Amino acid sequence: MRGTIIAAAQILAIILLSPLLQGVIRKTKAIMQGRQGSAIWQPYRDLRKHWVKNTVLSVSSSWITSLGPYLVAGIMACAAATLPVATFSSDILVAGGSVFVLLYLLAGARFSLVLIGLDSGSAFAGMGASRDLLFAVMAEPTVFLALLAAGLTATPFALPGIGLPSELHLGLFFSPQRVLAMVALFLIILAETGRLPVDNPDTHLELTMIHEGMTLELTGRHLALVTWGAYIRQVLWFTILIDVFFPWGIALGTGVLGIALGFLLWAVKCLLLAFIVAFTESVSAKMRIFMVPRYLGFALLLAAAALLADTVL
Amino acid sequence: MRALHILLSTLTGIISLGIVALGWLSVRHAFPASPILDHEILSDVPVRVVVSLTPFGGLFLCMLGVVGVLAAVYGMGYGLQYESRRYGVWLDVGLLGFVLSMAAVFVAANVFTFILAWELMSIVSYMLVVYDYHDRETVKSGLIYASMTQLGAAFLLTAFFILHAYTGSYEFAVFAKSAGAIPPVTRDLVFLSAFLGFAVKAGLMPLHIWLPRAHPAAPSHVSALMSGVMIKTALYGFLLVSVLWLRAPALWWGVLVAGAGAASAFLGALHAGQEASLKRILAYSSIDNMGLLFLGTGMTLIELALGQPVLAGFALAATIYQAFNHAFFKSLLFQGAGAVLYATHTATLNRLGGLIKTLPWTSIFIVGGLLSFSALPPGGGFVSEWMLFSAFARISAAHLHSAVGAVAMLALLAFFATGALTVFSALRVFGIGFLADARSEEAAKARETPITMRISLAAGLLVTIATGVWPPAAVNFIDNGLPQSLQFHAWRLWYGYNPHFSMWSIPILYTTVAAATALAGILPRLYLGRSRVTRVQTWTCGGKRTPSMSYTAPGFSQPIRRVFHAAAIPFAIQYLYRPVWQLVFSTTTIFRRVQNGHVRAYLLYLFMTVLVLLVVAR
Repeated sequence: MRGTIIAAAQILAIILLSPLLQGVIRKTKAIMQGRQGSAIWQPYRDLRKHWVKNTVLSVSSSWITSLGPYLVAGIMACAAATLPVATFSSDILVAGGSVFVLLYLLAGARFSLVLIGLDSGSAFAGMGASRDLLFAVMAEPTVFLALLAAGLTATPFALPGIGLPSELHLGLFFSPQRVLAMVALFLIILAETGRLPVDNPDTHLELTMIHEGMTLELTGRHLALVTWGAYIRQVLWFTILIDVFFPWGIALGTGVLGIALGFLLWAVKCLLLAFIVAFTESVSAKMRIFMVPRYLGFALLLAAAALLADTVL
Repeated sequence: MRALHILLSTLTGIISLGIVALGWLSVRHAFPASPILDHEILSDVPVRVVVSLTPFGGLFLCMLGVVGVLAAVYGMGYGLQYESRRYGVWLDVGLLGFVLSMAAVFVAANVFTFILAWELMSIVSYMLVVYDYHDRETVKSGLIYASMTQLGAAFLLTAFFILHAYTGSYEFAVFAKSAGAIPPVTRDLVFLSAFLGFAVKAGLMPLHIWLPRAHPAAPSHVSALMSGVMIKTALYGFLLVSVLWLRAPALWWGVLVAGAGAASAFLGALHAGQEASLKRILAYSSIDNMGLLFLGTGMTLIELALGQPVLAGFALAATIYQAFNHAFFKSLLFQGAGAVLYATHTATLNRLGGLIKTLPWTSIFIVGGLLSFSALPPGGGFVSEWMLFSAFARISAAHLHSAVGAVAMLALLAFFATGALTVFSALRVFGIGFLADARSEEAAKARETPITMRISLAAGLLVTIATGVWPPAAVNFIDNGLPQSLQFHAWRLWYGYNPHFSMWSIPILYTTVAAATALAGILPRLYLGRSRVTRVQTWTCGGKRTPSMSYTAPGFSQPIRRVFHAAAIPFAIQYLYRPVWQLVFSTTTIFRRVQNGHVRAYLLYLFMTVLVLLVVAR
């Protein structure tokens, strides 16, 4: 029973706090750029605005557009239950925190999102989708290799097992394979969450947008769900990074105090990551689209090096 | 004629059901190990038909039977378009023969029976490939297919001959007992010729050139059987020789097989994402999947060589599980492609589009098949790829500080790159071919297909999903079919070490996603009510929209083509096949001088032959 409550709390925490994280990143960027920026609550206001609006559908679209956004949201909510947030106890996790399940759920969300984009027949959506998939082809192996390098000996290959050594031995944070894997994963996270230098989350400039291109034809409730899904995805990626490399302070059981502390520390670490992401975004420029494969290739190389470090050392 | 067509299809369906039952019973060890049929045709030469139902063959019989039933039902409707050709009665006869000959391959228990069944299967499938013989391209595809398959058979015969020379028998039972004692270098020879022979049939790169030509050329339910089951006969045969007979393989065998498999998987997936025609995309994806299966086999061999039977059994079970799923979803997708062909008479993605509105049912079945194809839930492919991944991860963890660990990591790299490329081609097929607006007259006027075809597609979708809903049943079933020494307890490996990651994981996962999706739909409706829907044209920067404004298939795949350009060079054609062709052509031109078309010359040849024979034979 307590497990179910914790799982529900975890899903709700991720869903409800994800827009805040987006707001914090935007605000930080604005301050770094010398602007005042909108309040950190602005993403919530945007979502509410979308929620109450009516739906405008393309005449070309089909049931894919009517079903897809709900599926994206559903998959994201389920994914939020497959990774440790406040505790490493795998009782409460769907599929025991299996990395494979988590990443394939994210791939399922991507599948739905691309179909939604193509459903309208918009050329911008096609462009965004085809670029997004190109990056996915390079990013997906990198993520797995990086996680493998970090937690190769964990059986079964699940997030609690991978993260546990980092929690128990603080020194592991500086081991070469973990450092390399962490940098690789961080580079991928920038790409997967649609951040500079890969995608620019702040513009609607047709020829450069990726995520925005796919959601261009969405309105009202559908847009709210998909946008919220993207916010959740960002938190999920941050949480993966936290779980694997610096889960410090996470609870190992299901005691109430430990869980509360776990949630608190998780939120603090997410905020810190948000600052870091905002910082890297402020100091980097958008890459030309065909330079991005080099960037991703570099991440892949780092992940492979991390694995080799495992084999060699 | 139409009655005969229905009758024959029904017969094929019933026989296929029987094959499923036989396979099921043999996996459950219902039959004695001794041959159930041993009939000597000629006594002084070893021409005997020996048939036995083994648990291992039973697994593949089940796979064949299920796809066979679906193909038979589908054929009932699909044959209607051959009205002018007696409703495709000969096609039905061929289908029945094809199913029977494949079943014979899985029950053959000596060399003669196996080769007989193998060649029958090749000939029947060749005839089915060239069923549309009015098309020159089809005839050419058939020719390439026939010659490649004979090339493969030559290697197989070599392997069997060496096995015979060392064991003194043609019986598979004897091979299983004493092939382990063959001296090292000869074992390598047996392995290499078996690998080459079966790799041709499996369509591993670079021996694949027949596959993307032959599979799309055949009528669609035949393509389904070819891609779903026929190429698995190669997997079956290769496992028989390398795992069941030649036990204790050398380490490099596994590395070689895994390497060839990984290359095929990646390149097959890359090409599948570039092709323009639906059936060619599916054919290339078959190469990619056979690559994955051989990657799994390679890992099995590596673990066998290192004396880790449990890990080997795990990898082998994952491989066979993946083979089952591939058989089912590929059959579904080929049949779906056939339905598109039936309705629009074109399979070129750029001429389709908007089919989700004109072919609503077919579209649902295809998108379901594509989910399993991309290894996403709720398809069976998701579970079997999860298991393959667990096997590879376990192997790389078990050999962390050795070269084997590095091989396993490279296998994982290929595995995930392939996985992402597969998702890409699935989205390309559905997004370009089925969504948005019709790009051609044919696609706009498409009508749903006959009910039998849709029944078969619906059943195919159910089977595709059912294999993954309750993995313990599937894994235990496959485990039963494995040889005794490789059996493992699914509980210990897949579920062991963590009681919460249990057999319930998959049902819980699917329920959670479904419940969350439903909540996302219901909650807003409860609190905010239905939202009013207005329909407008897709935004085109203010101009008038035409269907051709949507992204095209080549445009969609352009970024990937550009980035992976180097890997997509037609290397095999350039450096492997062209020199051989040129050699053949140049030698034949020398001999062509003999053929000058004059009757006198031929009479002279005849006379000289007789003369030579008289001199020699005297």
